[in-house]
Amino acid sequence: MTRIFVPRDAAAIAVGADAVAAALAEALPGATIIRNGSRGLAWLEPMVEVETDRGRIAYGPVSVADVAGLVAAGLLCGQAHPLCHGLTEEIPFLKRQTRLTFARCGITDPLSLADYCAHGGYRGLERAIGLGPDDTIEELVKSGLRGRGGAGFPTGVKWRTVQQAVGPRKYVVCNADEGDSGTFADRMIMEGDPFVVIEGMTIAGVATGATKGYLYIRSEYPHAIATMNAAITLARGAGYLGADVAGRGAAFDIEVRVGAGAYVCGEETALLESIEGRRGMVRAKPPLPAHKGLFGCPTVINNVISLASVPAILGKGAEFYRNFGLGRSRGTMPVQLAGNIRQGGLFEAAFGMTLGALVEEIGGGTATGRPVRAVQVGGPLGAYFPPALFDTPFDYEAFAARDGLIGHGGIVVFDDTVDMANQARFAMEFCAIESCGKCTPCRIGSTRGVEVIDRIRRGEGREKNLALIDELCTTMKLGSLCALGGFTPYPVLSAIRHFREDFGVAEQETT
Amino acid sequence: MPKLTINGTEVEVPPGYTILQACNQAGIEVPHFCFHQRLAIAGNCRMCLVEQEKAPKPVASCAMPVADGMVVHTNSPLAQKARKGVMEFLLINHPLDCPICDQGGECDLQDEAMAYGKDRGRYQEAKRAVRAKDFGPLVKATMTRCIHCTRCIRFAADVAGVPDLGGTGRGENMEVGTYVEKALTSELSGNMIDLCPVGALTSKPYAFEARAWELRKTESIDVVDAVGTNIRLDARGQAVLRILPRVNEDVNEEWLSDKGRFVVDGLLKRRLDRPYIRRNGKLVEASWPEALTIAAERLGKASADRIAAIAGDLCDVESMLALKEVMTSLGSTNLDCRQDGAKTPAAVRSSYIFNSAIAGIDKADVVLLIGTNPRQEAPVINARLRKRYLKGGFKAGQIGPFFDSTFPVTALGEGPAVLQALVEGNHAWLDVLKSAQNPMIIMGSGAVARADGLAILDLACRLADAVGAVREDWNGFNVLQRAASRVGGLDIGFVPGPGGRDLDGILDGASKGEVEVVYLLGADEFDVSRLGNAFVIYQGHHGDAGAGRADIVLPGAAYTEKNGTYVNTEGRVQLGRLAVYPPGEAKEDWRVLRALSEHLGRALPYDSLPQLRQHMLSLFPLFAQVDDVVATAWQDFGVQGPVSGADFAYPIDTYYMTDPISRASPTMAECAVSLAPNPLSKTGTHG
Amino acid sequence: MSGDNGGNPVEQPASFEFTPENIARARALIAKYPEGRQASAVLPLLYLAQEQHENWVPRAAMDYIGAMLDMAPIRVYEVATFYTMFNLRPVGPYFLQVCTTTPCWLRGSDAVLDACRSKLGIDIDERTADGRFTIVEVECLGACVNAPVLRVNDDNYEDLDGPRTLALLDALARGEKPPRGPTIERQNAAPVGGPTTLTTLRFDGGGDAA
Repeated sequence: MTRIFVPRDAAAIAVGADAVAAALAEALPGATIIRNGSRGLAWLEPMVEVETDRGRIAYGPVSVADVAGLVAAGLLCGQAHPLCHGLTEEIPFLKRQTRLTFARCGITDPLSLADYCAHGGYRGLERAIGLGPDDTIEELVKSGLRGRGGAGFPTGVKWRTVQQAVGPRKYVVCNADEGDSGTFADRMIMEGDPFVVIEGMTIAGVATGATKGYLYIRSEYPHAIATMNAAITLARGAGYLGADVAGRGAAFDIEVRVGAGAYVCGEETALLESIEGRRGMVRAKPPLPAHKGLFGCPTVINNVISLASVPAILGKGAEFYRNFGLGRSRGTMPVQLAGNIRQGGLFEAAFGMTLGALVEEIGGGTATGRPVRAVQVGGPLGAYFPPALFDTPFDYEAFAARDGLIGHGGIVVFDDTVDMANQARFAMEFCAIESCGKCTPCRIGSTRGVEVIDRIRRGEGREKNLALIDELCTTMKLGSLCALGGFTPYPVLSAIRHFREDFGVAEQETT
Repeated sequence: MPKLTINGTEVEVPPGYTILQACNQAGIEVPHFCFHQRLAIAGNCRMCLVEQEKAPKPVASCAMPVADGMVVHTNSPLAQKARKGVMEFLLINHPLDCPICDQGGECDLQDEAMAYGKDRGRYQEAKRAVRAKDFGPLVKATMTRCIHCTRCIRFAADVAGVPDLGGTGRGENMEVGTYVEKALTSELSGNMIDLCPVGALTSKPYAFEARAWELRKTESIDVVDAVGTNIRLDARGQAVLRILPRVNEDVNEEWLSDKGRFVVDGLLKRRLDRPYIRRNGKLVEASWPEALTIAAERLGKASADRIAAIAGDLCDVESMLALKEVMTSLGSTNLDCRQDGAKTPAAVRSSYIFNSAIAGIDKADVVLLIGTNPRQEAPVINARLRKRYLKGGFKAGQIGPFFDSTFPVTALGEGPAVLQALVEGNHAWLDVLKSAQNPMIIMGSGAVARADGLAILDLACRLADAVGAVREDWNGFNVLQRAASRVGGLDIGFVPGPGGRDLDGILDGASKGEVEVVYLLGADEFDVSRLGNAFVIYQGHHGDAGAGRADIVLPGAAYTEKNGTYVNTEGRVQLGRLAVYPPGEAKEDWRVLRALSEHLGRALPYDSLPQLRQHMLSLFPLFAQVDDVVATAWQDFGVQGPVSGADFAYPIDTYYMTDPISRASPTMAECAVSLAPNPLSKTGTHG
Repeated sequence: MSGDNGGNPVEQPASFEFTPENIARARALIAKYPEGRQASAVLPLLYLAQEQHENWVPRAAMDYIGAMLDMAPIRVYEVATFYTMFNLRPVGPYFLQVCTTTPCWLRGSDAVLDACRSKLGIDIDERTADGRFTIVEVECLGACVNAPVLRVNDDNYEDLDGPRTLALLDALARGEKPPRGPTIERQNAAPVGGPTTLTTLRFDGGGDAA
């Protein structure tokens, strides 16, 4: 029976994948419809693939109305059609990627454990159990994996701290509160390859001695929540979770926890507070979560992508992984392209590609066809880079050196119609809305920052107020408790620095 | 011990210290708002930022533990810049209404703004304002002034154990409050006023009364319970306007009960400010010579066994001693300072004090409460118990009716039968007590104020021995007194001498006509209708039950109006001090008694307070150890006998009204009405 | 919709309790957390209450949940007012969530919001007089590709502009349920005008990208 793949990813479902799958099932009763994850070519969704002798052939974007024509044209045999893109693997957007973390995403049936194992799943856990905790962690340290949530802290070092910490219990917490606008890697992997997240958490548990994991997913991701819950049930049923993981004596289980609308809960200590049933208020550190985290116990807390990268690292070896990338940024990073961009989607590649290549070559420039004026990298707290900085390689240190951050790998593109003063205002306003309200600089600075930028935009005392916003940002940077208040100045100051002309226009108009 | 360098000086501090603590130890001041040494660390105000070498940005010194080799600069340009930025932010929203704010002059924000603030604002937009909130009769909330330090929230949740307060909303919209409007229900709520670093929480009764710099400050001792809380009396002219706690780590740390704090307006109401004589059934004003002459006549002409004296709960030791000596000089031994009818044996000191001392609570791991509700009888001690509970590894059991405890207690039963079962080894909790490292028994004053009090004492004494509560290095047998005068009264033996009558004997005698004259020294807490036809001399400061029944009223001084010695429940001798003079013709109490003795022709052998104290010391050397707990030997006490089946009863009905001063206080009256415990909370379905 | 700090009082039901079915669900949720940590279940329980109670959480429900989890009522209020997804006042059966975060905003979410405002005569966080519509402003809904997006209850309406938003609201007002997804002549998430992108990819160095 020919296998046809129709994604179950939210991005595909949002554009009609469910209806397409139903139509295909009706038109081709002999075929097996597999609801896979997304390949990350968002503009081609729903992207239907057919398994042929030559490999998987892609068609997209497919609507219900196209189904009859596709079937008539010989969809089952991978025949030509205006929507046909040939071999999926040969689509340039995919071909140019290095898919380690997302290796299976879009290829397998997300909820088939057999499929998962057939594509290399659970080899990482197998090897980790064989190596034992010390060597597993050593392997991770060697791989050079750094936290993909944004802070870039070496994952292996974090795990070692938890392993060595003493506590009545230990926990693994997976941070899937992916709140950065323009990012969706966590969601994609949870919907497209949930077992890799489970395996990564399980390895973390086995390596550090934690017996329980909590997966904190933002409530805006109902499909990811459903998929993860289903996958956890399957893994538990197959003995990959529970009292005796994979029959190797270790206990580890996972519960899904749903957020309730608070960007700041992506901050690790606020997330822990939220799991404990409190307001998502950031905790003062130290103590680090690795020493005193969830319920006061030593806790590994990692981003989804960090954990999802672990099985590949252990499966293929630290050396293999660290051969990708450059400098202190090793391995691959799933870059997410969004905003005013032609080919939005997920692009996993080794560190080191330039920002310009990602935006212009991979993303194909703006959707409007107008020139790119600014790119915000790293979510709403990331700096705005002008095309003049497009030679910046995608690398933690290279971005930091230019007062930017790669964060969770989100890139939002703006064309030349953007008003950067308004963008600066937006950054402050976002911080004001999402501030937990605990520390003075973030709570007060963000609200007042909006007002000061408004004054600048109205043309009131431009130089004086630009100096004031600079000082306000300094106080937020120096004084804030967490990255929300500490990083909001980045988009604001980068907008002022690189697009200063946008902050003077209003004055000329009004005076 | 880690060594670090602060401002170029090497400092060695205990491990686990924060940078802020290390700075304090080194005598370096770091400004802060949210940090408070008795509260959990929050790290939210960001005023205590200091520069730490090799840290990417300034660190909050209150939350950062020291590490060996750390190099810290508290006043570097970077630290200054960060703090000035934070201060500017705080002042954007703060209303700067200092001229009409009661915190003015003693405001942390004001003080720090002098150092870190600018003389004008650079932000012209409207200030943040929040809706008015009502926290009840004691605490006035002006939350527009709030800087969100959350000290009050942490105090309510952790110290008071009454989680009324919280932060609701988020970010700029966050508000500190109760969300659903309600009065704060803690007996310690006034401490939030002290903790609030700005004028958001101020004293409601004291609103707009005075400025801090106008007040004369006198260090004294609180008498509304037997804790002996160290207080400061702030007075202007001839009125004490407010009462604040002083720090005494061994006694009250830095807390003060709401009654001790807010009773202050009762000092100006219903005062006995001149002598009175009852004529034709009505008290009419009299002169001192008239009143003293009649009092002396009545006392002198009755035979010694037909006169008696009762001392009340607020008396200083000096006046009790003077009264005892007046009575003794007349040959009477009908004396009692136990106006609640307690059977406490004055001869065995360890039977009536809190032997472990209050600070001993910190070491206890199992506590058994017998017939006491510490939350009402001694809120400050209750806070210490809760603090111990929060530290972990602590169990509490309780014998007596249900009460709304601020720490978990296991209810073991309501009457003495449980105590008996424990002593006889028939109770599961015996093992809990026995297995404790430092077991503690806290017996309420109410548990001995009953006919079988001595038998109960006997049981408690035996239980203490049986569970190892008394050892060379630990005495965990504690009596929680609730009358400030009680331990002192017992110490000087203000109890019946051989053949003398105790409280019951006196009252029985009075109602039967066997006791002709009763001298009440501030005694109001018993059923005065049992005084029968006796001639009653009332010496005291408030027109309460005793004065209402009196035939002669001799106006004395309230605790704020005299220098006097008090011994707290631990047996700690402390000195109360005069802050203002007694009103009108009222006099310090020992002077009244000295004058009376003159009229009796049996002049007391002292005519100044130093002489009286010298005399007291010669009789009772323990009074020399001021501020200390006097070591007390353990001896058996109590009398083996049957106990009744009646449940224990707590001595306090209404926390806010327990003595003549609090009953005169309008504020306490308001509290008694609005903060009356919810009857539903006493159904026994809790816990 | 949260942040209701006691102002504009809402008519609150006197009592609340879970249905037997939800009590069972609540117990299962509580069991996910360690002994003595049942307060962890406060968020899921608030969701349950909201689901059971016409999409908003009355105060009685917060008190009920507090009692169920042995939490002081104020601790539940703190949580419910912190997270934006809990509605603390009644909302309409048409619960309109307009995303205004960067990608949506730069593609015209202001026009969507303005259309909602003008059509319904209410502002953000308000409910129409007939009680049917409530507008809230939300952060990223994760549908950046087809921005701007308006979520009506659980359905996303995408690629909106002012006029199409008005048309959508008209349809909703008539009781219709227009198909979810893009509201323009675009095929799903393909670029407007057809899937031309693959032919214009510049991967071989021939492009003029910087």
